[in-house]
Amino acid sequence: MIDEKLEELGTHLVLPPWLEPDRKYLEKVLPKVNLPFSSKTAKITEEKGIRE
Amino acid sequence: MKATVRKKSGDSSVNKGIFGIHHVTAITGDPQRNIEFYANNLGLRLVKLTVNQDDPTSYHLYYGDEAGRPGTILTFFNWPNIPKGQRGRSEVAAISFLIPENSIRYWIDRFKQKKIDFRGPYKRFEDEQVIAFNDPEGLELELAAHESSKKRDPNVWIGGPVPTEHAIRGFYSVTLSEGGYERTASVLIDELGFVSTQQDGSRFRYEIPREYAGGEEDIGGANIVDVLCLPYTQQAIIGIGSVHHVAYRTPSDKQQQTLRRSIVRAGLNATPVIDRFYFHSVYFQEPGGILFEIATNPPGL
Repeated sequence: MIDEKLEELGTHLVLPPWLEPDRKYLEKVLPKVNLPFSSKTAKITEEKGIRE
Repeated sequence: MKATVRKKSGDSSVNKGIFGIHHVTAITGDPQRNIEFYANNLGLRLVKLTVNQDDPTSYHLYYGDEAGRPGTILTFFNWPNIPKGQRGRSEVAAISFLIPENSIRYWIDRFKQKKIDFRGPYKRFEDEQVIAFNDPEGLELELAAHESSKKRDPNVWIGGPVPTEHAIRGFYSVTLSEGGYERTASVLIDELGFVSTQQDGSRFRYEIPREYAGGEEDIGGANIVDVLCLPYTQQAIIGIGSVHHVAYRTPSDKQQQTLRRSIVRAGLNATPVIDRFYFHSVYFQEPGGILFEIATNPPGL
């Protein structure tokens, strides 16, 4: 795993290092999405306040 | 019943450093519906929520097995403002996921329950049963039940909504539709190391022989490309609900360079190596017009 732990894959927006400086802007313009439920990631998503 | 021709893999086949499909990238206009369909209905894991590197204000979604291993990765560019794709030749006509042989009934019941239309199951070649269906935007998908699923248990996402015994085990194959098959076949065979194995009517099958699966680093599978020869079909238009490209996996940068040199020598235009962060990529158009990519297994997702 290069930028996320196995149990956290797909649970938050990741950007390649060269786009990190643009994170704030990108988070503003990208459409909001609800992430899927999974038993393994439920705890993580709860902590982050994402649906389910 | 159409005649099926089974050819023996010639002894002359040489592995070119390709072990099968790495990922398939398609186009969605609606990321929320896309997530609901692939994660909640098909039970794939959303393994990466990132942006299109060439257009960072749009998402790039990755689905796959637990770890997003090569051979299981289906990705989507989110381009809501382009037209819907039109089926035809010179495109990927179907993406096929692998399921266990005894899982057909489970999936038919699941599709009925989820109100997903499907065709089949029908028999293809000697030993596979296929259910065909579409995603909400028309992308052509299949479930292929085949005994090779037994070797793909590591490709299950155990945290998903589908019971482990029936869950998708990565890709089985892709089907290309082409005006003619010979020149595409020569790229698959001479450049990528596929072997011609079977033919049924206008469907020509090419496979990376299983003995080439790359040990611990690569469990094999996702090693089939079917070419449908459809000379009287209109040219496809790529849009929402179409595949954008198919990537084949190679274990190292060195082998990717060797493949690239050979592809260029064959008269095809290949891009320089592009760093996609999760893999390194070389893109080229095969003679039928479909965009192919050579992607490295490392570093991974």
